[in-house]
Amino acid sequence: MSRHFRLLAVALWLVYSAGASAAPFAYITNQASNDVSVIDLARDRVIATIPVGKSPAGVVVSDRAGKVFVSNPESKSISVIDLASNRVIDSIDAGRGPVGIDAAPDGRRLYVADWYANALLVFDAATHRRIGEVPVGKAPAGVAVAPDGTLIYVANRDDDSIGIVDAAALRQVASVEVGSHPFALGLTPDGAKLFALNVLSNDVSVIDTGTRQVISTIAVGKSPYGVAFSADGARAWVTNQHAETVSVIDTATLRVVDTVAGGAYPEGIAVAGGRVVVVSWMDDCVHLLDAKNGKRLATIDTGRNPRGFGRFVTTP
Amino acid sequence: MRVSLMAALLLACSVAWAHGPTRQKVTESVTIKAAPDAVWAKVKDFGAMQGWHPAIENTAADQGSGVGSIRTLTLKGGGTIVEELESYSDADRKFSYRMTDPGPVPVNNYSSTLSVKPADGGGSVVEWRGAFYRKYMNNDPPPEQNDEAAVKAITGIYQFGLGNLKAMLEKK
Repeated sequence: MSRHFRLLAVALWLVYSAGASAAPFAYITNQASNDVSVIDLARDRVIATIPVGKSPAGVVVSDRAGKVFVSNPESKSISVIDLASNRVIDSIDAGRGPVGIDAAPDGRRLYVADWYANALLVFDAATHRRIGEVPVGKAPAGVAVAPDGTLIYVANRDDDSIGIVDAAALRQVASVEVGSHPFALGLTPDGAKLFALNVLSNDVSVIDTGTRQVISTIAVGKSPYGVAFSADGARAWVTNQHAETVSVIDTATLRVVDTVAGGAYPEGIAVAGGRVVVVSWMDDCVHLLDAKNGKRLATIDTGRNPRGFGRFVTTP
Repeated sequence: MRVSLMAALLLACSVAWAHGPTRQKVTESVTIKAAPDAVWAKVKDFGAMQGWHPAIENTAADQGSGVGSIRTLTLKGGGTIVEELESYSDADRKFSYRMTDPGPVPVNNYSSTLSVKPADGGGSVVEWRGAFYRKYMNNDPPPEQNDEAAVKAITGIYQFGLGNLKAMLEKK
């Protein structure tokens, strides 16, 4: 066997094993260094740093599309990263100020909140062509797509309300009043409850998606900024940016059952297996917490001013 | 007609652009040859910032160092800043506050934490950090209201204050 062939075989094996690995990967948007840190959560280290557009903030990993979509508010674009190669394969023009971003569960569509245009932009996730632009409320930020893909929820921050957009009709069909300045949104995995994080009233409005009523308002810490759910949907984790804590919420009783240390200016958050990934904007890192007790297990450095605003972890 | 419609649209946009710019941050720290308790004693009173920061003429706080206390800082060069105490821990020697009126400081939504910790090998480390937006919240800011101007102003305030604190405490 020639030396070249052996090297090729090893390289192919490495590529194959990386692609087939069950380990989740986190894609963290770094707003000041204009790049994305890719973290291998099996080895707890950064395996790639991918340059994207200017001031990347929003992010969504779509395993179904095989892509990561990143919103760049200052270059008014979406960077498309190929999950297999960790390379940027396209840049899409995206209105005047793309912020929140989510993909349909089937991986066919991408939804982007255009902060400046008060609109929800709709793209084909395969061709990257724009399908539509839906007028919503003032200063739309967070976006969440229902598990069946029929509805999209948008946090209309300056209206203190959540817009509900019909995916087929492409228009906002309802609006639900919540607390003050809702920014991030999260749906329980079954889609039954929507959590709207109210940055200025320091609480979470929980909306029953069936009745479209606020069924509970849960007091959390100062400036709630990010939310994630355990895979079974039993727990919600909310970062409190100014309190520098994470509130742990029982999604059945809708009560805070624990409050744990969250690092400096915690923002984006995701659950990966038995651990919770918390982005620390101030300290340029992510902290990995034990999902059982909130204990800090590891810290991994990222780029500068990391946000991770959205669903930033791959699903194994 | 066309012009006034455009003006109205621009105005509507500028109102909606309240969160447009990117949040900035500054961290400054100083090592001081003095015990943490001695350093903390100098900076801990939320209502007496003139006791250590040379840019402050006077401080008026309505509830001292109680959470929720509002202080008005009068600057030596003129102008006032209003700040609210958000959290306070004597045990951890740290407190956090935010500006409700930045006065002449070219920032928006400013929040800050000041802490005193023991330094490795004795003495103290004082860390002052802030998160904020630039003053001009629309696109295309004038130079004196852009991100760089905001970072420069806050860095200057921190360095001036921490430098003076060190000099005061290390003076024999």
